[in-house]
Amino acid sequence: MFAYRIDRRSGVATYVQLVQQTKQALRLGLLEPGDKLPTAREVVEATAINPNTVLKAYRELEREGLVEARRGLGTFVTKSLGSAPADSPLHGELSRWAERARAAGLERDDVAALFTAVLEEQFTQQPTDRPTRPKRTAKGDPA
Amino acid sequence: MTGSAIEAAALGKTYGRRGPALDDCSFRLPTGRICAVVGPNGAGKSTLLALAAGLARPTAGRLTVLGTTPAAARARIAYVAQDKPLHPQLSIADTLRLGAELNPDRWDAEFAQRVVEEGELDPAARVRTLSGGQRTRVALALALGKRAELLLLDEPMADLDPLARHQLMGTLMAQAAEHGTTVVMSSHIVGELADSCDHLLLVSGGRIRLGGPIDDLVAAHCLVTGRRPAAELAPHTVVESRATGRGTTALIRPDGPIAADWEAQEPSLEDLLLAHLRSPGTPALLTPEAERKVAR
Amino acid sequence: MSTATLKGPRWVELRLHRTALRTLLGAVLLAAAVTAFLRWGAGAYPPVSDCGSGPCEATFLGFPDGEYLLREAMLKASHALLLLPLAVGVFVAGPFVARELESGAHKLAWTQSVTPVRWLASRLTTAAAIGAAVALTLMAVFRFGAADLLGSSNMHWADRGMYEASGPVLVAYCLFAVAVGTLTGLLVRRTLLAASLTGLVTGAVLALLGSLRWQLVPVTQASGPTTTMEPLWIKALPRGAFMTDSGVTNAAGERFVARACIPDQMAHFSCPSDTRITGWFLDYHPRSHFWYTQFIETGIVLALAAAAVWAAFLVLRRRTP
Repeated sequence: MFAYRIDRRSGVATYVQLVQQTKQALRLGLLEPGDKLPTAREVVEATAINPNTVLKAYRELEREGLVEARRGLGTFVTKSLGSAPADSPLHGELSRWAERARAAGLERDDVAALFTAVLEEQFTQQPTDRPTRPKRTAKGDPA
Repeated sequence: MTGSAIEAAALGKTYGRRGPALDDCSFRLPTGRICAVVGPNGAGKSTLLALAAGLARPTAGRLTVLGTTPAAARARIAYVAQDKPLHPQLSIADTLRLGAELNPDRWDAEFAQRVVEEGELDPAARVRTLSGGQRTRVALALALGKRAELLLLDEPMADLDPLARHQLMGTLMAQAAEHGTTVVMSSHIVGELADSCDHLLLVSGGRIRLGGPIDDLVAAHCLVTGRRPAAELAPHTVVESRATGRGTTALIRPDGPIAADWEAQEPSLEDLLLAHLRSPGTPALLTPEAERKVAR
Repeated sequence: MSTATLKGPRWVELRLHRTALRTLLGAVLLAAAVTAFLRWGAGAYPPVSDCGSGPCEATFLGFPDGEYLLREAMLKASHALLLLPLAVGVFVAGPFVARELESGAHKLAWTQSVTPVRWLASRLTTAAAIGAAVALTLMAVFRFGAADLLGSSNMHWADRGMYEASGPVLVAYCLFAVAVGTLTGLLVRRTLLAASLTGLVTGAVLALLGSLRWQLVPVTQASGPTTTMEPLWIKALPRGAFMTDSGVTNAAGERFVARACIPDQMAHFSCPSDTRITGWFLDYHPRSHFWYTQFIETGIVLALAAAAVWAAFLVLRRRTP
């Protein structure tokens, strides 16, 4: 049985942790299409988190098309998240870009910051990947 | 719309000649929520739970529990008082038998037994020989065995070690997930309940200061920092403001857009609670869901 | 006492007070056994009429005879039974009701599926049933032990203790003690204080009604003509009757005590101006008044108990929704 583990000090919202851990398990092949996710009851019994948090995470996964809730049966994985293979063209491009960055005198942290900033720019529309405490300048829920 | 687990209308309770323990409290708690009742010691949390449990009569206002009076809902409510009262001369097994005898129509002996066994307690042990945490476990087993629709728990986790706390909280959450049980837990420590609860009632000085789903309450506030005096935050409700360095940090309830020269951040639940406790003058905030339905 | 067949709050009450109940059962059995033994002794070691010269030798357990010991024991028992209602009240008020409220365990009882009113009703009926059963059993034991002695010297039916121990008033006082104990326990919510107060109230009512009871039924009167101080009324007093007053009357029918007024008035006595004796009088309760008095007193005590029960429910209803 697949088990979640909640890090209370990470500052990442609990439901986001559930979503990320599920995706991680999909990438690592710990979960495959057809597998059943633990029920909300099982998750909360093991983690002592609020049941609605689990349901929120599962809804999010469902919205992203990764899982499917079947009434009375449970939530099942419908799609795998194959990581980009090491020999893909994307990998080569990124590798070459990193070499250039190094040659330009960037430190490891600088590269990471740059990479994260670009990720933020390109993937902001996915609410699961936003940090828990978004900076805001106006009233209202950004979601 | 879901039903109400608890609905209070101008609820008040005064003990003898002392000042009111609860004063003019109006709020609504929808069913199915895990609600934290938070506030300093002596704020009125225990009084509120005791009134809902049908142990005392309000001296003002009205209280509806599960759509009826607390007295009529008695069989559908389970309550664990802060001091975890049990009969010291009874064994654990007899204490559970007491639960069975006094709740003949709904007692789940197997479940109550399991809660006790998970604490590795000897059923033959007398209650008077148990530690505080073990007593709490037996008291919770008694409450859980009742399979109530509403669980009222007064400082349930105070005496428990971290392992037992996590495990019992898990059991509570599983009960809520499976049966849609409404759980109301009081605490003066915020962190202990933050992950498990989705609803909040902040009580201080006998009044409700904040009420509503935790996400909504947090979203209704902003932590702002800027190199400007607090007075410039005027259009918003300023809960608390502090001078920091050359500028100001304040927790506000935004009313309209925030000027661009303030940097705004979502506060943590703890920021929110502490700021309200430090500023008793702030008007109460109930989200629409936590407001009492007004009869039309 | 088996609790296997009991259900609900009744099971809880008996289980909570199991030790006290076992002790009580033991005490009652012991009392019955001792009484039976003493009765046997009274038959086996009858009074010896002729001891020859010198004092009689001790014959039964160091006492002159078996009957002597039985009589002494039954006399003590009649006084001890006067204390039974006090003991019942003290237990009900303290450990049975107030302790639960003092320790907060009532919060446990009142938040199960049983209403506080049912909780109270169950407590009251359990205590009343046990109190009445103990009173009746001990009364039967007492009557069994004192059967041959009643009416003999020191064992008059109207005596304090003897009167209470041999009629329904004992049951009534025990029920009254249950009711007052419950009310006090609910009101005071402190084990020791509630127990002491209940003991005081029960004792006071016992004492008060004890001094009033012979006025509940009108006395039977007897009179006749006489001119002397000779106590002629003695002849008119039926066997076993309880005399409440006797003396002489003058021509106007005024009563007075002959020796206190003739030839001179003694201190603390009131005498009529005319102290010429024209007749004698006698007020007494015949043996048959025992039952009238018992039933009237029982009625009064039960009415007081009912009032206390009503007040107890009122207190509870005021406190809980």
